[in-house]
Amino acid sequence: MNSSPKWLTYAFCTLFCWGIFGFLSKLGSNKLSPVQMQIFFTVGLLIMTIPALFRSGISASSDKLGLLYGTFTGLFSVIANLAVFAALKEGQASVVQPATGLYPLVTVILAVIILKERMNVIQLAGVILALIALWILSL
Amino acid sequence: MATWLFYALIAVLLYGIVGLFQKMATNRISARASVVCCAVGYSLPVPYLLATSGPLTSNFLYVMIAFFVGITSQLGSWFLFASLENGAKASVAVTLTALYPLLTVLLATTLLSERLTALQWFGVFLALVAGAMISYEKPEGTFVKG
Repeated sequence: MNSSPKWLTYAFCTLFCWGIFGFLSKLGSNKLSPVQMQIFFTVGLLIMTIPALFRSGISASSDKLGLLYGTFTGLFSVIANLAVFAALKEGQASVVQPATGLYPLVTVILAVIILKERMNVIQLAGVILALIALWILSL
Repeated sequence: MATWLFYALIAVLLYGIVGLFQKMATNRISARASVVCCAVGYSLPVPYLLATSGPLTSNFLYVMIAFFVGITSQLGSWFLFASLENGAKASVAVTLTALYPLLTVLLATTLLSERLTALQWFGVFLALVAGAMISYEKPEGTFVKG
């Protein structure tokens, strides 16, 4: 009998972790301010980053621009997280999380404009669907 | 506009920008190196946040909840990397994991007794489908949650 491929198990573990992440974000945001949420969140995130420190391959010769872009992902994520925690304080997790999960909408559009990437047909249909979804959720 | 929606739209915009920076970073450095840099980016504003947060809560339960939000966020990213390293096609793994809000919806409606109108359920359904469709990419580019 064939067992599930390892990659599928890992993918479901991701889905599970991030689903719990969304749920716990709501639980915490009910009582803590967005800033406090972000502070304790960062502690947890840093602990989980330790294993990567030893295998990151970062050295003096690493691409400086790549390192800078990587740092920007963290900086922008902080502000985005604060917005999510604030949204969760006001709204239901069952609506806020699906709405904020639409962020690739912005990435694909920016990637087309800035990186001159091409959007495939499925992505284009997804963008239209995402805009409709956001409109419906805003009603 | 509802307050929650205003903040949610800001988050969508900023996470979207994060996704772009992830693409630009991983075009130049390894995924692991980009995760470490991302953690550095997360750490930089902490002194400012500490200075502006007021007294930190002493409620151990909620401190642990917020702490586990960070743990599960990063752990999920590691599992996604592990999935990709174990032969997953990015077009499948990233699309599949983009459905994570589904679990949040299930937990929130069952454990927190959140109630949605029929129209909101339809919006949630469309959002989940749309998120998966937008995340469908060829293997050279991936969206990893910020």
